[in-house]
Amino acid sequence: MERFDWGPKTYEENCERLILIAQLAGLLHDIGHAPFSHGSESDSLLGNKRHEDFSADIVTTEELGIKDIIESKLGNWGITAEEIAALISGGGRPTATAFVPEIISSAWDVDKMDYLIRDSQYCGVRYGLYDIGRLLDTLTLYDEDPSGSLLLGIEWDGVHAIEGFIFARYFMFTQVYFHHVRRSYDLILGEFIRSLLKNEYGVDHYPDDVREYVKWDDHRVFSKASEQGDTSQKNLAWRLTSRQHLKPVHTTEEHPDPLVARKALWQLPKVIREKFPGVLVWPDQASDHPERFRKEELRVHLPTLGWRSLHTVSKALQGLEEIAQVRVYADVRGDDSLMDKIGGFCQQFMS
Amino acid sequence: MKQDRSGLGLRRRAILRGLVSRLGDVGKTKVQKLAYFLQELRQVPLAYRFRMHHYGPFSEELDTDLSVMKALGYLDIKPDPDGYGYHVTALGDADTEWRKETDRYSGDISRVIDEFGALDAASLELYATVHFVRSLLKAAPKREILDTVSELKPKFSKEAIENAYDELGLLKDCGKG
Repeated sequence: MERFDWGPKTYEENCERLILIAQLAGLLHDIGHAPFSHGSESDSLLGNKRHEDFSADIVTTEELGIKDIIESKLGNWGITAEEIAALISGGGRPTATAFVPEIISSAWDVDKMDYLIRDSQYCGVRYGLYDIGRLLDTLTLYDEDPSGSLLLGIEWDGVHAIEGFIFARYFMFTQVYFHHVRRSYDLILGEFIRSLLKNEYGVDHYPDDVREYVKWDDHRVFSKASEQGDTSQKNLAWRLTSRQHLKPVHTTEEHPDPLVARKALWQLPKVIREKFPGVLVWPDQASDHPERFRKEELRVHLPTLGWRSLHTVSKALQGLEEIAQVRVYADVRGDDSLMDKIGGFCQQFMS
Repeated sequence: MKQDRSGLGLRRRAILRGLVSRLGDVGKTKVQKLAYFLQELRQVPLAYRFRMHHYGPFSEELDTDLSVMKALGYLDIKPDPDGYGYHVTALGDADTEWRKETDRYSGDISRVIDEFGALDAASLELYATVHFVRSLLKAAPKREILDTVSELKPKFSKEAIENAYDELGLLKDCGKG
């Protein structure tokens, strides 16, 4: 333990302090989500910020109240709102206990471990289930990093548990998060909120100032939608409130040939607009890559060989490819025959 | 596809593709750091947000762009068969509409490759971290910057950190020419 400067506190007290910090950062890390969380955060609606930056702003902005709670209740632990904010936004200085930020935000952070299981439950699917008990039992600390920092690692007998976790995430992306109806609502919400923001501020993104930003919540967006919904126009607000989502006129494979993906993403929308003027066309690329899991280089502790990276140990994960599904949505405003016509045209163009 | 709104996506793809194809076979960390220098030392408008990461300044958006470019067939990215890291290589042909961007920034790409292209990932991490800390602590005296880097990256010796600082200072004097 000589790598740590524990100060005057005991080992147990310092452990408890780390646990408190991790719990607080875990609790608050997503508090800065925009209305409908990720649903309306695409397309640069957040300006130059990420939702984690707003989370950190909310934690440190005095008049929003959280800073005072942290510092009045936990000040005697020496815990500051700024410390929690840095952990949330990733702006903190690396420390000997680098596994704490990893627990909050990394390929195997506790958020993912939680939301896969919870989203499965609420969506009525089982794709997101994996052996979380085994995963937690086999997590360990990697202590050979040249920086001297302790990082998360996994014991050799937890490899299949982490594979299960990564596959669970892959299945949830392909089956739930990238479902064509869910992606369709991202497009509608994103465009609708963009129009509200333009109207309110003259710019097409949320305000940078967190005090103004927090005024935007689901209720405000929904109440604007019910005010503005227009059945005769079948506008975006009407789509939202009457649950009339856009339908894709063309969908590629989940792992399309790159040239097919390019054609669908860049050429297809252009030719549809030329052929069917007046129809709103929206290209959408749902992409996620298993490699994102490997950015941090997960390390496995093997009994005879010592530490190895997960991707060299796991043959199963080597077969995972990026998801790069392209869809083109068209707003035909309920005209089914037009929908069929456009669909047929796409098929012909893409074949 | 937010980037396509302003042509930023096209510029990013063109420049990343140009950078990788000149380097042949390059690691992901190195791409990150060279893009960092293109943006910060040569003012190439890539508009990536770099944050301090385990291996120095890192942009998640850039990482995503590399993956999307793999999915669209412009790059290949393979894990190193023997251990850590990835090999990034150019694949197929660049789009003809990228020419304008790659031509415009070709001199900047050459300068960055001349200065930093031969360095290994660890040295690039050092230079980029020193630069990052210096930008963060704008008006701070040299000593404070060196101490901060040393605290962030204890694996680098104090001499190495100071050397990197001085060399970056010389580069800065050259300015954007």
